[in-house]
Formats: sequence, structure tokens, C-alpha cells
Amino acid sequence: MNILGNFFVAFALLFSILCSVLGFFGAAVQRQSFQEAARRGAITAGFFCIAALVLLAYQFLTDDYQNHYVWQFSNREMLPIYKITAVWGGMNGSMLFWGSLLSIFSAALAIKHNIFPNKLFSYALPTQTLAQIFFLGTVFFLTNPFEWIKADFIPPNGNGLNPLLQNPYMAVHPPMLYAGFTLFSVPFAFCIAALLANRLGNEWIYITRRWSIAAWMVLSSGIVMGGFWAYIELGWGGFWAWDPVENASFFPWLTGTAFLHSALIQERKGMLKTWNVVLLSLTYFLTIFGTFLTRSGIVQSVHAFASTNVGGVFLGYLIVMFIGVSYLIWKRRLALTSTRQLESIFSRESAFLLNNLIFLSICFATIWGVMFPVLSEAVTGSKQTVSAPFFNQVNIPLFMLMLFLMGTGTLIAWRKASWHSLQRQFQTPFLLSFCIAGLLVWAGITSFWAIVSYSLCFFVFLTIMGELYRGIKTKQQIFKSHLRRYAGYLVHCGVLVMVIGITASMAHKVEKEFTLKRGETLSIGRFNLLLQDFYQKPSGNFEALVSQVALLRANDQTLVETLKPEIRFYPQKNETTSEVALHVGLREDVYLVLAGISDDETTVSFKLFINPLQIWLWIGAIIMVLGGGLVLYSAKPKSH
Amino acid sequence: MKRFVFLAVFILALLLLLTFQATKSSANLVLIPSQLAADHKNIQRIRVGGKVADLPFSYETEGSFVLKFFLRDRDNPTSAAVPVVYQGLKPDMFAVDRDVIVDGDFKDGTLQATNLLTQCPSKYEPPQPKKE
Repeated sequence: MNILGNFFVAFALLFSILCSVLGFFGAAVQRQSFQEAARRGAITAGFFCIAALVLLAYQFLTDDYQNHYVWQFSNREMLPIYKITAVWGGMNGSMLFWGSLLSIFSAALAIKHNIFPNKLFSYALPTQTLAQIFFLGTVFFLTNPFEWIKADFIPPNGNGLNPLLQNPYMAVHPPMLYAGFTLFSVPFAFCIAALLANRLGNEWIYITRRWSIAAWMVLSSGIVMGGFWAYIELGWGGFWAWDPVENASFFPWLTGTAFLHSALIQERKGMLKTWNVVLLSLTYFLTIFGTFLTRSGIVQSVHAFASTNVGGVFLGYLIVMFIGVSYLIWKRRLALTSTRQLESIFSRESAFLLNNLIFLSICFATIWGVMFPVLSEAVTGSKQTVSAPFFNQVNIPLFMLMLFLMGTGTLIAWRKASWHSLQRQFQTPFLLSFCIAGLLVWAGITSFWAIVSYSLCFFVFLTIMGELYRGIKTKQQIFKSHLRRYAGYLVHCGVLVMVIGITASMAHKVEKEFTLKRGETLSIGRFNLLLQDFYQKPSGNFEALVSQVALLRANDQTLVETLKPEIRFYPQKNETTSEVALHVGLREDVYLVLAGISDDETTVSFKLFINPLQIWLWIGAIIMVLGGGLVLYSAKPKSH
Repeated sequence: MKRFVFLAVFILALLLLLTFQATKSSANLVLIPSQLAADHKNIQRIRVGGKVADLPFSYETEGSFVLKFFLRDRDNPTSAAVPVVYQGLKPDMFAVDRDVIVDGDFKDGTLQATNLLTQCPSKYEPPQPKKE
């Protein structure tokens, strides 16, 4: 089986190399036969990759412990679905998964488009396969999931997957992230193709519009899903810790979102051509860079990955790409000059540029924070680190600035906004937002940033409503000709809802540690918590201490929900996990963690979090991504 | 255009100022347990990465939650163990020999932890199969 797996990977690699070599050559000399061969090579490579993945999944499902990787990340007791997700549960499998995704997209490109004689396509395919050559090569030579068991016997049972990962959201989160990263490789391939073929108009942007939006949608979902999993599983009451691995997925999201906006400017005004090339390349770099950071071991993270020599290979890839892309940009610098200049600081172009600047600033600050241990050690000799307080201190003001731009960019005119139009458009929303700020202060909110955040959200909401009203009033055919713009507004509304959820759950969070005996009640906020019972309960491969707490409304003692937080002990692995009991509500989440039991077994201890408006973060994310879907739908492929 | 450049520079300056300020006020020195055990000095705001030592640890949950354990170097099982006191919920996956990251202040020979994170063990290099 392992031999077969190695065959599949090797052939996938070979056909990818074939595709790249023949593709580049065929594009350069404009020979259809070579390009046809390249197309077929890409499709074949795709098939072999899928075969490799299916084979690995099969090995997991049949508990084939002759495969070392299968032994490492599964055991017989696991549910079949988690045996499948264990395919990407470790380094080797996830590298194969990433390479396979790239191959599948290459194959899709090859199937969908007739390459010859469009020069853009003929360069894009071999460029796309370059990426998969790197990953498949790394898989085959360095991080191979098809290795023999590293022992002289076949173990009767596997090591098992971390119980924290045996959770539906954790099953979906990594593949979504990988898919998000790899979807950006296609626009990048066309970008490079545009540089190579010297076709630097808007063609490559039109062609890859849908890929970029899809990448953004999938990446956003993946990131939010990770936060959601952390929230419901990890028991610390939060959803984002600015951990290096979290940040690594965030970097390309920031630059990718910036790119989606600045691409709009290029489409409408022919500006920012060089900038878009740089930004998209940067996005692609960051998808690789994030992986490099977290798997090379140079940065410590709670998501511990084994540090292998993979780090060096990735660094090499990044350096080669950086040199290559820089050279290409320099070579085509004349073709990349814009046809228009920025005319006024008070213009929509300016707002979009500032938007980009802020996204990049947040990205820079976050990279700085993540790399600080490496930098401080290199410069001062002693290693220092920063954590969540640093990121919040720098990024919150930047996000607030971004919110402000989200509102002004919506309304402000193109090219040069007159003072009169500025006054007319913004006076009312500004004034109303200040009133809201005042109201919030009067209502007793003391957190400065919370007030800023709510007021700005209200401001942006007003600007969007203003646009909607104007559109309806002038009988604009929203669904016929302006769908993309209004879909964009929907995305921004989703963001607003998310911001409100994040602000409330952070600024007004309530935490409490307490102990209760059976029958005792804790009063907190709008609720009473009554400990009804607690007991031991053996189950499967763990023993559980279960507590039963009635969540009651304080004013009329009605039962809202019965919460059953647990502590689970896994004797085979000598580990304990806590199962959080979560009541999700529209006004707040009640998040209850069972901490322990007294020696005499009469009292149990809890930690309670009340997270106001938490659910709106998830709802907002869904609205945002659905809005993205609408943008995707409206982005009909357009020929230049 | 000139005004825009000016604004961009202003924002960048703001960014750099914020970053510098935030770094200064929240940077933690990174140490390993044996460095603490050897030095005995009181140091504030440090981050220590190590393994939970194979020594008895206690977890009090009545009243406030207090977790007391010993921390040793990751790569040296016989290195000096530093006592750690953490006031808070015992994190999932906390166990002897598990890699942890502790933020806190080193005072009078004990690491007073303000933050405790256990590392996710599944993607770490797991043990090789043993004959049972």
C-alpha cells in the first residue's frame, strides 16, 4: 500500500514537472502540441493526487498500521469520520493535501480553458503547476505520509488523534484554510502569466475575479471556524488569542482583502497596476510564509508542529519566488504604469488606497508581533515576546480607522469630491454618530474603544442605508446592473455585525470563579445558576465527571437551559479535557466550565463567562460570507 | 497627490509609534526554567517555555483556583525544576511531561504565572510505537 502511495505521489510530481516544462516552452514558442501535452499533464497529475489522497484515507479507514503516519494519528476507537480528517491531522498528510489542492485547481484550469492561442492561459497553467511541484516534491522527499512503520513489528493499535481535534468544526477548519490559501494561487498564476506574456491590462484581473473572491470567502470561513472551534472547545471563554498560527492565517486574509478592493480601482480607473501585482504576490507569499513560520519551529506557538528541515525548504522557495517576481515586475515596469493619477485626497480612490494602507499596516504590525522573538534575539541577544495585549493595542485603533474608511469610501465621490458634496453626504451621519457616542457614555459604558467602535459601526450603517435609500429612490435596477455594489454593502454589513459582536464580547465580558454544593444557587447578571446534581459517568474511552446546572432567568426563575459541563479523563492517554457547557443567546452567551470537585466530593467549582452579543460575531460572519457569495455571483466573467 | 503622500506618511508614523509603544509596554523576556533556577533574581514580565516536571502537582478548586506544579527544561529531564503557581482554570491537556508556556513574574524563587498555555500535542512528534 505504501509503495502504491509513493507511486501516486511520484507520478503526480512527474506529470506536474512535465506540465510546467512543456507548458512554459509551448507558451514561449507558441506551439499548440506542447501546450496540449501540458494540459494533459496537469489533468493526469490531478488524478494521481486524488488517488494518493483516497489511498491514504483508505489506509486510515482500514487501520493500516504498516503506515507510520496512519499509526501516529489514528486508533481503532476513533469514529470513521475522524479517521478521514486525520489525513490532514499531521504535517505529512497536510502537505500532501495542500499539494493535491493545487493539482486539482491546475487540472480544473486545464479542463476548463482552451489554452491555445491565448498567451495568458498558456503561461498561467505552467506557473500554477510550479507551486504544486514544490509541495509534491517536499512531500515525496521530505514529509512523506506513505512511510513504513518505524518499528520492527506492526502495532496492534494506533497512537490516536488528539481528542480536541475530534470535533466537527476542527474537521472542517484546516481543509477550509488550505483551500483558501491554495485558491489564491490561481490569481497569482495569472498575475505572473500577465507579467510573462506582457498582457498588463485588466484582463488577468477579470479572468481571476471569481477565483479571488472564492479564495477570500473560503479563507474567511476557515478563519472564523477556527475561532468558533476555539470558543466552544478550549474553555478559556475567548475565540482569538493572536497566536502565531492564527496570525499566519490572518496575514494573507488582510492582504487578500486589500487586493479585492484595489483590484476594483484598477478595473474602473486603470490605476494601481503595479500595486495590484505586488499585493497579490504578497498575498501568495504570505500563504507560504505562514506555513513556513508555523512548521519551521522558529516561532513558539500553542499549535506545536514538529520542527523539521521543512523550514529551510520553504524559506528557499520564498526567496526564489521573491527574486523571480521582483525581477519580472522590474522588467515590465513601463507596461505597469497607470493611465491615471490620483487627483484629490478627498476621493474614493484615495479612500481605497488608504484602506489598503491600513490593511497592510495591520498586517505589518501582526507580522512584527509574531516575528518579535526572532528579531529581538537577533538584535539584542535576548529573546523577547509579545502577546495579546500588544496586538490589541496596535490593531484596535487601526481597525477603527478602517471602519471609518468603510463609511466614507462608500459615499465619497470618485476623482475629486467637492467640499459641498462632502458636507451634504457626511454631515448627518457624523452628527448622529456623535449623538450615539454621547448616549453610550450616558448609558454607562466606560470603555473608550467600545464607544468608538459602536459609534463608527452606526456611522457606517447610516452611510450604507443612505446609499440604499438613494438607490431605491432613483429606481436603480439593483439586481440587474448594480448587484456587485450592493452585494459589497451586504459584506460590509456583515462586517459591522461582527465588529459589534467582537466589541461587546470583549469589552463587556464578565468572568467569575465560584463553588457550589448541590442545591445552591449563584446570582449573576440576568441569571441564576442552580447546581442540581453532579455525578461520575464512564463512557467509551473516557470517564466523565458531569455536573447539571439549571440556568434560570433571575426575575421570574424560568428555566432557560440545563447546562451540563463535564470533565473527561482519558485513561489511555492520561489526559483530561473539559467539555464546556454553552448557552447561546441573542443578548449574551453563558459559558460554563466545570473546574473540579472538592476532596470530600460535596462541592464543585466552576468558571463562568458571560459574553454579551457573542452570537452576532458568528451571524455577522455568515452574512459577510453570503454577501461574498453574492459578489461572486455578480462577477460574471467579462472579456476585455 | 502631495497631500495624499503626507497623509500616508502620517498614518505610517502613527503605526510605527503605536507599534513601538505597544512593544515597549508589553514585551516579555523569554527564558527557560534552568535559567531561572540558576539566577534566583526577581524578574518581572517573563515568558517561560518548558515541560511539566514529573513531580507532584496540586490543583485547588475551592475558593479561587490555584494550580501549583514544577517546570523543567524541555530537552533536559534532569534540569532544575522551578516551582510555578498559577491562579486560574487548569487548561485542557495539562499533564506531566506536556509542553507548556507560562507568562508571569519570577518572585522569591517561584514563578507567579498570569497566563498558562499547554501546547497541542497531536502535531508534535509523537512517541514511536513500543512493544506492549
